[in-house]
Amino acid sequence: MDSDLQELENELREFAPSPMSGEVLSRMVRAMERWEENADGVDEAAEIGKIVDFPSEKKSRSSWKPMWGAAAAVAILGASLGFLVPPKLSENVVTASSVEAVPVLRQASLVPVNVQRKISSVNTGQVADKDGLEYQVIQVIRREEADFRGDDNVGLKITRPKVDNYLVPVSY
Amino acid sequence: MDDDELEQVITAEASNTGALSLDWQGWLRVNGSRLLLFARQQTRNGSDAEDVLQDALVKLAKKVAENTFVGGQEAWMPFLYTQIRREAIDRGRKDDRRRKREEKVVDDAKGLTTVEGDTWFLDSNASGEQTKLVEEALKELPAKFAEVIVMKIWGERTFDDIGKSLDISLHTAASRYRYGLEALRKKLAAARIRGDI
Repeated sequence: MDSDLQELENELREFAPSPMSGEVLSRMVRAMERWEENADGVDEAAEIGKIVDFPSEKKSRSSWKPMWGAAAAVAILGASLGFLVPPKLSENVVTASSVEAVPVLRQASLVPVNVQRKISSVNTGQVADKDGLEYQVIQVIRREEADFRGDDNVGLKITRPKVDNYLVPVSY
Repeated sequence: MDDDELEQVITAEASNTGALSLDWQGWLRVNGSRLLLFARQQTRNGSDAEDVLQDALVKLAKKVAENTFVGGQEAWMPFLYTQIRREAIDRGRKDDRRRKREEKVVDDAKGLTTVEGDTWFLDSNASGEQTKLVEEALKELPAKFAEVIVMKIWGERTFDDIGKSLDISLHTAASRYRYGLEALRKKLAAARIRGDI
């Protein structure tokens, strides 16, 4: 900054801002001491600026969409099998997979009666990376279960398990 | 007790805010004038300046009382400068909307609605004419220059603080300061030539 501006700066510093009058000072102090009465209800977040909250995880119907979609697919599949499998063979139908036989339903009359999400965690031990840092392995098991009921009180449970492993540093 | 001693007492008391109630009056005696100057620069008249300052101070008091204020006492002034500016902008928008609704031309140009005693600077170190001229010259400057000058010279803020309060970079703050001072120098020089000073 050149000397002229420096000189102006020094001259301006000589001007003292007018002080608050006694009345104004008292009013300000009263307002500050009674902030509860004076603070308006404006959302602080809107005042401060662009503070966007993390979206809260709300349980809504849309969060169950995948399960309902799976349930609908099973219902349609069940209905299709009911139409496709000859009647005399339906009683002897056995699934080829290793899971327990699923009852074949002739009609698409499955109605979802309950949907649950169960979460559990298991500490499965410790591991170390190549640098020797140790981690606790936490296995989180999410199990989504949907119960269906059809005519004649026939039930069907659909389970969708999901396993995630989390590595938590032991020390840091 | 002189101002330095008073400031030390206020600092000692305020540093132990958990145990003692805050001496807002003492703190405002030391810092209120420069905050009010900034509020005056940001608003159209003295009463708006006081309202805007009060709103900002109430917000500070609320945060301190609720223990939600981030930072220590050294962060109060930067917070207040930022808040004063925001309140002034909001008030300006509301006034503009109201004016349009009322379809009334309100001439609140600089100086015409000045409340008696609503001068920006004390006359003690200079003649009344000089303080008035500096005040008028600052009012005539583009706001983006005037606010930086007020914060730097009388607010004693750093360019970094000013940048954060005005949401501009440190370098932009410094540039605006230099350009603003140059523009102010020319206005005051013109006044000298006219013989006003």
